[in-house]
Parts: sequence; structure tokens; C-alpha cells
Amino acid sequence: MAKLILEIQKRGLHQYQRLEQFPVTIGRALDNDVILSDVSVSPHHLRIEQDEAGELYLHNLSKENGTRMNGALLGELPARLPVPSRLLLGSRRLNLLTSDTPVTPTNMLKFGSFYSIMANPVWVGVLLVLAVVGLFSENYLHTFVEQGVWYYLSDILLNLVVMAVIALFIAGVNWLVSHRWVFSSALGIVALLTLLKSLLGVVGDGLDYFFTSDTPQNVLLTLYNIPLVTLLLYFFQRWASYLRPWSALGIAILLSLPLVILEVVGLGDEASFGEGFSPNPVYNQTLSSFNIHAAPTLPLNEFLQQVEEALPNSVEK
Amino acid sequence: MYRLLQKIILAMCLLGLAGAGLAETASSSIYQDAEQSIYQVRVISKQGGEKTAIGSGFIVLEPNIIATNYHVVSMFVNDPEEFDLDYLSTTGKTGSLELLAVDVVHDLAVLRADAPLGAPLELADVPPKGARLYAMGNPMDLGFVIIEGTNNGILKNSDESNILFSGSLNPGMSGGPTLNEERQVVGVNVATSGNEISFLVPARHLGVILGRLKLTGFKPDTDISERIAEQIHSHTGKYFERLLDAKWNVRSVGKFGVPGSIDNFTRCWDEVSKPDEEELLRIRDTSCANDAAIYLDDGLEVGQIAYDYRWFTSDAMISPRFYNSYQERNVSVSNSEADKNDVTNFDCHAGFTRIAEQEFKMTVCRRDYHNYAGLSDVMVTGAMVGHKQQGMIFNLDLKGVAFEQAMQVLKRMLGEFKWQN
Repeated sequence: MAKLILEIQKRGLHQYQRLEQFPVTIGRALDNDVILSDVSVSPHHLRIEQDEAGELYLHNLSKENGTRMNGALLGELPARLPVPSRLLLGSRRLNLLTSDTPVTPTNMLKFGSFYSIMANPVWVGVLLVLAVVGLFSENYLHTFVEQGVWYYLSDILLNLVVMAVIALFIAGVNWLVSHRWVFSSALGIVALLTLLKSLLGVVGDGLDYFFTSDTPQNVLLTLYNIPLVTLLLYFFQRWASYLRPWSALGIAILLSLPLVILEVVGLGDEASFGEGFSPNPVYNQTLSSFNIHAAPTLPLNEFLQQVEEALPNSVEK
Repeated sequence: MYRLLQKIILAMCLLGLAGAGLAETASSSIYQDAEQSIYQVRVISKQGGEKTAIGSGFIVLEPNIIATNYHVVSMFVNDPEEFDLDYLSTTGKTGSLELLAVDVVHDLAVLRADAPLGAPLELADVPPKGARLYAMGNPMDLGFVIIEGTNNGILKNSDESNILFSGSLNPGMSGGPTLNEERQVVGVNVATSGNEISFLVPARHLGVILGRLKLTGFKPDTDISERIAEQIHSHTGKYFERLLDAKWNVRSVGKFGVPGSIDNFTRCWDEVSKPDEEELLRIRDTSCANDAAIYLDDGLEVGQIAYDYRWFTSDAMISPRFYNSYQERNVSVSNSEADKNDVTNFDCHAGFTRIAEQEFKMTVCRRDYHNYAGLSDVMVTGAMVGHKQQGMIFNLDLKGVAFEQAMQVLKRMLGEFKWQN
């Protein structure tokens, strides 16, 4: 007969106790065979006995929070204990298993090489430097008065602090879920997201000017806020926490929810604004020093003719 | 001019605002002779039963015909379902009025009373400069007054050709008559800009409406808004035709020679802001506008043309940085208070064109008036591109014009640009 194993469920990493000699006592007191330091568990909570025929019996000793076996509350009389069984001591979950119970397959990671970038502190440092350079140039190119080096430095410091706090939050959630401390990788992913945002801003501006339209920038920012952030966080959960797809997706969605909500509210506002009356014209205001655009530069007469064709009277006479 | 009108309107709504010193009363015999011909014209809210706007009016041509300003009755014209018109005599008699015709260009309205009211006043031509004139009306609902002043002739720079009256017109006197010493009406009180600078509509414009009404047996005009659209059309049509023929003065803005003031039509101002030491962008700003506007309703005026030029340079900023600050200032807004009941949304077309051999990103926007067919607001904005550290933004704003005519003005304007390297 396969050996009996008691699984004590703990988030991240379960504990296992092999049951070889009976009776086995379980409780918080230190004279038990299996000690559970959980405050909802009584000092002497359970005793498992085996009769000559090898049948297992469960004695509930707890008068405080009680015991449930496979969902049923136990009284004072011993009850037969089938294998496997789910036990609930107070609020602590235990599983009685046999040692030949199959385990879930190993979580195969197929993106190891890319994750190794995130896991390597040198690469994280490079990403961080790139993100900071991105933020600095963004700030520099949008400051139109003369500023000293301290102005830019304090901005960079502030950004670094914000990035560190976000990374800490992500790493904290990861630790809770998987008991792995991955702060450096979390910082890497935050740096990557920051860098991507800066790059998308530049690319979006360029595309807006190229197409003489506000749409490209809006589309890129929406794509960034809704699927991209969630997707990167999903992969991060998969790499860093070895989470299974559904749990990784759940946590990624939870982490990116504030952004998604803001974006959806913004889109809703835009839609309702688009339908209403606006006293001011809506037109593409981008200007670019590179001056690359899809529309040809027309002679004035042709342009004015185009305008007259494009803007017919919208009120019937 | 529209700002002056606004002053009157605003104060009209603030009834009971005391304090305006009454002008000295002039010849008491003129007052006594004309007293029976002067009335207060009131716009009454149907819901509240109280007056929402007041002005003055006078009997002309027939004992039951009253003339006043369009702007006195504009609330009623724009929303006849909500308002009623009535009159109040110097003796306290009241009765209802019916709108016969309006002339928005000259700010006149002709009304008919439900009963004969008094002796009609006669119309006369503008007397020589320096002649004594007597303005009558009911300022600020305080009672009927007569104010003595001097005729200072027809205004030259304004197409409305109003009479400059050196005397103190006060809010509520709008629509009242100004008489010469023979007790004939030479003008209708219309606006003031304070300090004894007041304006009168020459009586001959009223004569034109009365002449037309007499031919139709004083039949009220049907579809007033169509009439108003026609009036604005014909007025702005002629106005912009003359503007296109007028002398356009060249003005230098950065490296450009551009159209500056247009003789007898527009004036220009340079905005000189103290250069900020830390500011890396240098801006030179010139704006031009005409002085004429036709008042249609509170916050709604048409017939204006405004254009401005801003020249940007910066040696201290690299090109992408310069362009970011240039883009941030590339914002044009409409300063009109027209709302969704008046106009459609702006519809824009943007593209690239060449003006004076320089490349410009140009946007032309148009919106149309719901109630005045064929009238549009046109907003044009263009920004020079292709120079590393120099920029120029040009704006043209036209209100209440025919779109085709706005395009003619734009074409002429852009054609005048010269690059002076």
C-alpha cells in the first residue's frame, strides 16, 4: 500500500508530512506529531487512528473551531477517514493523500531566453538607463525655458522613485502569490513599460504629423494602455512566478486594471464628446521638425480648390 | 461697435441698477412737444410676466407705428414663442406691439401698436456738424428724459456710417429718437461708449424700411430669419467686395511681408510682451480686425473679420525642441459665443501648401448657421513648416459670411504674402 501523505496547504509552497505510525495527533501544542502553528487550530485538534484491518478513523478533539471532513462537520464520535480526503481544521486546509497521487506536469517555460534578460541585473540596469534617458529627453524637449541641471536631475529622481514604487508593488504581489522575490525583474519590466511609453509617444507624434490626423497617437496610446501593459505583465507573471496561464492572466489584469479603467472612461468621454456641440474646431495641430508627411504640398490654388470641395454647405437652404 | 451695443444690452438686463446721473434736461419745449410720441418698448417673458429687456421707441409715419432698435427686440425676434412685446407711454399707458420688420444691418425695428398712440414724428437728414441735437428715451427704466448734445457727423472708419453724437446716451435709451431743433428725427439712439461718445443710426435708414412697409400696407414680414439672412448676405457681400477692392497695406512680420491694415476696414495692433529672460522662444504678434459687426442676439454677432500673425524664432533650442514649443502654440480657438442652436460643428480640411515659396500646414474650418441660410463662420489657420528654428502662424477668422466669399478673402490674403530673405 502506498504511503499516506498529509498535505498542509500554504500559499506558494505547500508542506508535506509523511504519516507512518498511528495514532497521529495534529494540533498547535508542541507535543503533537504534526504541529500546525495556525491560531484557528486548537492545541490538540485531531487524532488519526488505524485499526487492525488498516482502516483509518478520525477523532475530532477540538471544541473551539471544529473540523470538517470532505465538507461535513465532525462530532465527538470517531469517523471513518477515506483516502484521499479534504480536511478543514479551523480555517486551515489539509489534504490526506497517498504517495502515488499523480502531480501536475512541470510548468514548461518557452520564453526562457527573453526572460533571462529580465532576470539578468545587467540588462535590467541597461533598460533602466534607457528608460531614464527616454524620460530625460522627453522632459528636455518639452521645456521651453532655460533650466539648470538640478531641474532635470530632480525630475529623473522623482521618476526613478515612482518606478521603484511600482516595481516594489509588482514584486510584492508576486511574493504573495509565489513566494519568489523578483524585485530586479519587476524593475526591469517597469523600465521596459516606461521606455515603450516614451517611444510610442514619439512614434505617435510622428505618425500624427505624417497622416495629418490625431488617430495614430490615440490608437497607439489605447493599445499601450489596454492590451500591451496587461500582456507584458502576463508574461512577467509567467516568467518570474512560473504561474499557470489563467492565474498569470488574472494577476496581470488585476495589476493593470487602473490603467484599463482610466482608458475605458477616457474612451467613453471621447465618444460622448464627439456627439455633442463643440464651439471650437477639432483639427490636427502637430508640427514636426522632420517635416515628413503623406499629403503632397500643393500649389495654393489647388489647395484652396481642394478645401472648397472638402467643405460643402452642411445646412440645407 | 458691437462692444458698445453689448454694454447697452447688458445694462438693460440689470434693471434697477441705480446711479447713472441724469443728463441735464435741455429745451423743455422740445420735450413737451415730443413727449406724446415717445414710448418705452419692452420685451416681456411669457412665463414670468416680467420685462426682460427694455428700450425706447417713437411714433413715426402713422399714429400706431413705433420705431426702435433691432437689439431692443432681438430676444423676441429670436424666440417669439417665449416673449411678448409691449409699450409703456410717458403717462403710464400700456398695450401690446406687433413686429412688422427689422433691419439688422442698421439695428432698426418697426412695430405696430394695437391702437393709435400719438402724433408721428417726422424724419430729417443729418444736420451740419456742430448742430445741437436732443436725444430722448427712458434710461434704465428711471423715467423719460431729454439729453442735449452735439452732432459730430457721420463716422468715416465704420461702414455702418453712424452719427457720432457728443452727449450721454444711457442704457435703456436705445431706440429713442434724437431730434433737431425743428423737432424732426435725425437719428435713432443706438450705442454709447461712455464719456459723451454716443452713436445714432441716421434716420434715412428708417425711412427706407417705412417706405417699403407703406407699399405693402404695413403687412408684417413673414419669416423674419430669412429676411435677416438676406440682409446680412447683401450687406456682407457688398462689404467684402469693397474690402477686396480697398488698399491693403503691407506689414512686416518676421521674414514675411503680409497684409496689414486695410484702409477704412481693419486696424492692426502689435502685441509687445516684455521678453522673458528665461524664455527661449521669441514671439512677435500682430493682430488685425475690423470694427464692424452686426448684432443678432446676445453673444451672436456677424460680419467680423480678424486675422493675426505670430512669428517664432529661437536660436537656443535645437530643432525638435523648438518644434515642440511651436506646436504647443499652434492652437486656434473661436471667440464666438454662438451655440448649438445657432451653428453646426466646425468641419475642417487640412493639408500642405506653398505660400510665398514657403511650405505651410494649413487648416480651413467651416461651420454654418442653422437659421441664416448661406452664412458661415470660417476659421483658417496655417503654420509655416520646414525651417529649423523659425515658425509663423497665420490665423484668419470670418464670422457670418458666405463661404465662397471667405475663400476669396483668404486667397487674396495669402497671395499678398512675400518672403523677404
